[in-house]
Amino acid sequence: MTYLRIWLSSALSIACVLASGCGSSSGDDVERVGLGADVALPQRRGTLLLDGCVIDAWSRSTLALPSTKRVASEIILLCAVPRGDGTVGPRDESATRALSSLVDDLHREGYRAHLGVAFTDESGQRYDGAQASASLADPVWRARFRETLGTVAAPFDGVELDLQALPNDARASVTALVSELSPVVRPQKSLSVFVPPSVTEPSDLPGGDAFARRELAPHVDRMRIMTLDFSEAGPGPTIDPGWAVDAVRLALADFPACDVSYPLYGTDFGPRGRRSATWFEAMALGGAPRTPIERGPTGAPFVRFSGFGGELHELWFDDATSTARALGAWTFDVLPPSVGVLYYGLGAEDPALFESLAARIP
Amino acid sequence: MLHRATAFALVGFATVASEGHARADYDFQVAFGGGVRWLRGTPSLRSSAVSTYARELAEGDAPMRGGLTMIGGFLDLGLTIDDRFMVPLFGGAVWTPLGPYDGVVTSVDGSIVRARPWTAFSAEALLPGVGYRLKRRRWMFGASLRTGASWLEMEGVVASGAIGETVALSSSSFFLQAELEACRRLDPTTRVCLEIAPRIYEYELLNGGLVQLRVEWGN
Repeated sequence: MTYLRIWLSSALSIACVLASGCGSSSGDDVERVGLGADVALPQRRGTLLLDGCVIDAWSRSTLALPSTKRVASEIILLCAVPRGDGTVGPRDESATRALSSLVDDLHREGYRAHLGVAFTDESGQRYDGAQASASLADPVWRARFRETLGTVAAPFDGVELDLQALPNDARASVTALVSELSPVVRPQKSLSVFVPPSVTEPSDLPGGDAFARRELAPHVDRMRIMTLDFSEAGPGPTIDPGWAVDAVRLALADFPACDVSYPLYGTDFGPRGRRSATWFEAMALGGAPRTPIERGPTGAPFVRFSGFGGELHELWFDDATSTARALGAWTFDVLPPSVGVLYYGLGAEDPALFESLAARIP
Repeated sequence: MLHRATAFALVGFATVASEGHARADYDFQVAFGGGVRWLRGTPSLRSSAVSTYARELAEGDAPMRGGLTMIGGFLDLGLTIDDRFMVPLFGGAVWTPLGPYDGVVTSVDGSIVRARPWTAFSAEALLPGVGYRLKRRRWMFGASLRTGASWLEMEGVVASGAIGETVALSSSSFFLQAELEACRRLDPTTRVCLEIAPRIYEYELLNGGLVQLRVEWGN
């Protein structure tokens, strides 16, 4: 009976343990996707986007790294803009020479160089949707655009159209611009378009239906799905990897050669609005003891800080860890191997990014 | 009269029992106990469908990493034939994690998910098997092969921008285990046993095992 009592007591103890549970969180994470994972990152075609016509010494050093070349094979310089009459600039002789020299440098480094056309005015302000739509609807404007693009794009290997904030009724004009441009640019160069990250049809985004992907498909080589700026209403990550999958999948139903975009920049959310920020800026803010760097559910780091006048800010950005998690989550059964990655905002990135990614690519 | 009727009844039962003995002597056993179970590799877990701010996430697989050590208890029913052959019949077991665990950053259909192994719960249905046992004075040694079905569940958080939504992650598997036990008799019908049971198959080959103490009632 003594044994029985002992065993009854043991059983009761076990029941208590089961009822309360005795597992606990260590407070750390182990990765099944990402830099610390035991599986490699899927190797995808990589493209870097630089917002400008000049590559500074810092970015040149980045581009010269073997690890960067392992991750990306082409560079987009978002540099050209159409003027009010459709003439594409920059057109100054010195600018043309500088661009040509820059493209030569990129070729020497082993990259393909693409010319990005941003629809902004000469001061860099984006045309509002109505203005851009009116220009695109004008056959004379489009003809001027078509005729003058060639000079600027001459040294480049491809042309990328970055049309934003268009109204839905610009759909026919966008298709007309691309279809008229296609025989001028191709097949000597490639032609690609930046496409809004719609996840439904009709589009869930303002102006998302300005892009008739199925009608554009015969005229372009790639569609870059702009899976960026996910958090617009309030502080949050620049991209949600699951949302990006839905956006790319919808585009893939119409066209097989798509890129998913990944931000290299961060966004500072303050009471007066948003602004872009770099990894270095975020790290400088996050270095203070009262502003630790935290991580959101997607793995994107963020820092809370007080700005001028005590205004509360949240700066969300990406680093090698969060980028690798997203790339690791985009396995080939989620996004097919034909899907490339457009890294948006060269110069703002975590300096360890490309070395970290290259080390995890088979 | 009563004693005489009882005597007749006992004689009748003994006769039936001895006839049964001529074919095979069998006896049921009931056991309960507790122990520690080790799952060498946590299997991929199926996530429940969830609607988040970012997307409608259908059911999908979340690959996992690392193992689980769990503590738990069980209740079991078995049959012994001719005092040598064991036929474990049916039972059930429940398990809960033991010790601290790291969160596991994984993904479901491209969405980032953080699994929480410390919230795991496992239930098992113990199904029939076969075995053999030997007795040496107050000691008994047995070995058997046992089948069963195992269910594992834990919580996860699927990322939806700046917020996370709770999602259930689960998996189930058939299992086959080898049971080795050493028992000491406490009284004519009660034994206490130490059992070691490597899992030959559970989610994958040789994926852990368990060590447990059990109390058995039966001849």
